[in-house]
Amino acid sequence: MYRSRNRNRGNNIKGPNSALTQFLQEEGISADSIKQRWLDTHPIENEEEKSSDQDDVKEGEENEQNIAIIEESKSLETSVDLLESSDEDEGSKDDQNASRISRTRRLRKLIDNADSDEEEYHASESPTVPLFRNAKDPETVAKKRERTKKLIHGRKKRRKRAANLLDQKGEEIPTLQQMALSVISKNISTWETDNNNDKFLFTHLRDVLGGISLENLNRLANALSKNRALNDNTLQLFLKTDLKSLTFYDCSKLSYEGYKTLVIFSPHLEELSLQMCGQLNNEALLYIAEKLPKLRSLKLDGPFLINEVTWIKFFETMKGKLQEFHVSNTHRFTDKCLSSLLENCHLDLVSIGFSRLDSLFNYAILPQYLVNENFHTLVIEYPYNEEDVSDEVMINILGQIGSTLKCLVLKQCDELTDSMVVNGMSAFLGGTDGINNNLETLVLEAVDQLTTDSLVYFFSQISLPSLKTCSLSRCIEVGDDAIIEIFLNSAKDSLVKLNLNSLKNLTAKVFSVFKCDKLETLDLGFVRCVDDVTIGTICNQNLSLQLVDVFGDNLITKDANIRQGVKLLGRQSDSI
Amino acid sequence: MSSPNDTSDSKQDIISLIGSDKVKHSILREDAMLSSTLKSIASGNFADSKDSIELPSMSGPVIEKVIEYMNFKGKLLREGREGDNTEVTAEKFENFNIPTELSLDVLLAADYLNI
Repeated sequence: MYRSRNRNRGNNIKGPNSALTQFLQEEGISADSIKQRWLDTHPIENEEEKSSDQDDVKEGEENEQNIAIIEESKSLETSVDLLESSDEDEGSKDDQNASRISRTRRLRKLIDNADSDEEEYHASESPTVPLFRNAKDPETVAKKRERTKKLIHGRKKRRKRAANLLDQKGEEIPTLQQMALSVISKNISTWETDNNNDKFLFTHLRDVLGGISLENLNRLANALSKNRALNDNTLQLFLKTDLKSLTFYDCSKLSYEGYKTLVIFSPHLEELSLQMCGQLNNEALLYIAEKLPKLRSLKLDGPFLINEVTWIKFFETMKGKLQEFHVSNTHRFTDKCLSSLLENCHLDLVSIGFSRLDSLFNYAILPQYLVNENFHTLVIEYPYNEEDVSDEVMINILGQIGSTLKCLVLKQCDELTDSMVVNGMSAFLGGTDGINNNLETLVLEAVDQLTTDSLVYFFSQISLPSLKTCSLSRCIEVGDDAIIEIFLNSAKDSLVKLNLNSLKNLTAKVFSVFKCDKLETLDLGFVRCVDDVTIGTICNQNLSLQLVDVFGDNLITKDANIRQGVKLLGRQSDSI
Repeated sequence: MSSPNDTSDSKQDIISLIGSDKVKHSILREDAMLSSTLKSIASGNFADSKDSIELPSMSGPVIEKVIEYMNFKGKLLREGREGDNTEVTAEKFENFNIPTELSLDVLLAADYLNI
């Protein structure tokens, strides 16, 4: 009977109350089990209850009050509410049911204590519920309807709050700019298809956008990308001759003709970032190289149409100009392409990034070419063969450019060990006096061979007063001491973003010394030790904290004392 | 909407925003000061008049929308400060919508006014 509608599906599809249901299932709590447990512990009343139960079943079938019960169960649909409705069902019985009702209340309390994000039960819970109630009484029906209405309204509000939380929007009042942008992005696809207004619209858009700030132009690009509405038509919005920097987050609908138009109309572009640029072909890439004489930074994601020959030709054309080059998600960027990039552009390169390149193996070639004394960004993510990015390679690279690095990102480089941290990072990032004023971003994610010892050594040897972003996510061997050492390092005064996701060995003691004055974002997902008390302490000690990810931290309940201004993302009891 | 009708409002400090249509649109000074741009204009040494601000690049409907937004925001902030129940205003604010044909102009205006 209990939530049978969902149970019969036999899957984990999330419904409106799935978190509660899931939790009760996981904990083995069900109305039957609670009832059985209570009956076991109260054998004296047992026999009386059995007979009354049988009566209930028969009577329930014939009872006219079913109308009211059905109405209520439809609106509430929770186990507790069903208990409550059964409570009302028994209202037609005489006084002997009084003990049964109090028992139901106790059961309800049990469940409430276990977990409850459905505050609405309390509204219906009243110690003076009349035992006799006529369902046909219009007043009662009206009251029930009123209550149902309130519940639905409350549920809607909670759903909206949860949706906002997931979008990382606060409950603060949105700005008019945000509201206008949301209207634009909602309608932009409709506008596109409306051919009659097409010309007028884009002329108008261009006229209007001619005076818009670059910030809003970027927001508009964001909004378009989010709605997958960036195409050759909407691209016209960005064709400004004075544009120097442009980022498109979803170019999947931009044809190669679109790229060519962009290049022709915005010849002064210096920085270009094209994400998901699956239609960027050989011709368009070479066109970019030829027609953008000032281009110095190119970041491409998913340019899988570009072949090896074109890459090589592109780097030859960009010789002496290209300073930043990031590429990800293509199987056609090979060792030869990397050689060409380094041979032609190594003198100017200050930032490189390689992510998910399935045909790139020769990372060992990097150290000898990275010679620019202003080199600041190195990103290596998800190498196809983990042994290609070894300790030796990284130590050599850091030996070349370690002291000037501002951003070091190493993700899923499984082959790296403590040796890289001790002999590479500790040896070359610190300079002579053990202070590194350059490093702002340090990301070592899913480097699962790293241990506490090496990180303790690193953070105790090198002072990092400029570190703003630090991530040790999924370095599952890392324990308390390494994190405490971060909090003792001068980095504690500059950290804005800290990611400790999945550090399962951490204990609550590490957070007692956790005090970073500028910290705004913290990811504590799957750090199982974090409970209500710990999260309260963290919020109170870090006064700039705004957002904490707590997915999978099931010890954090709705009772956690969270400072105003802090948003918890992923708390189980917030589920709708 | 843009011109407060009741007597209590008329006693309060009100300024006018004048758009390209040359019509005066009234707004509480406190609400208008939510925009840092209007605040600088109103408090600047070179303001011709402290009681009216000309915004020639904005049309009447856009200014009305801007004022409607600032009224809502101001009211919500006041209710929040005074510990009143903000629910009713918040609910009305949720129904605040921007006509599609005005959205770009409103964006521009909001961008300029920094709201």
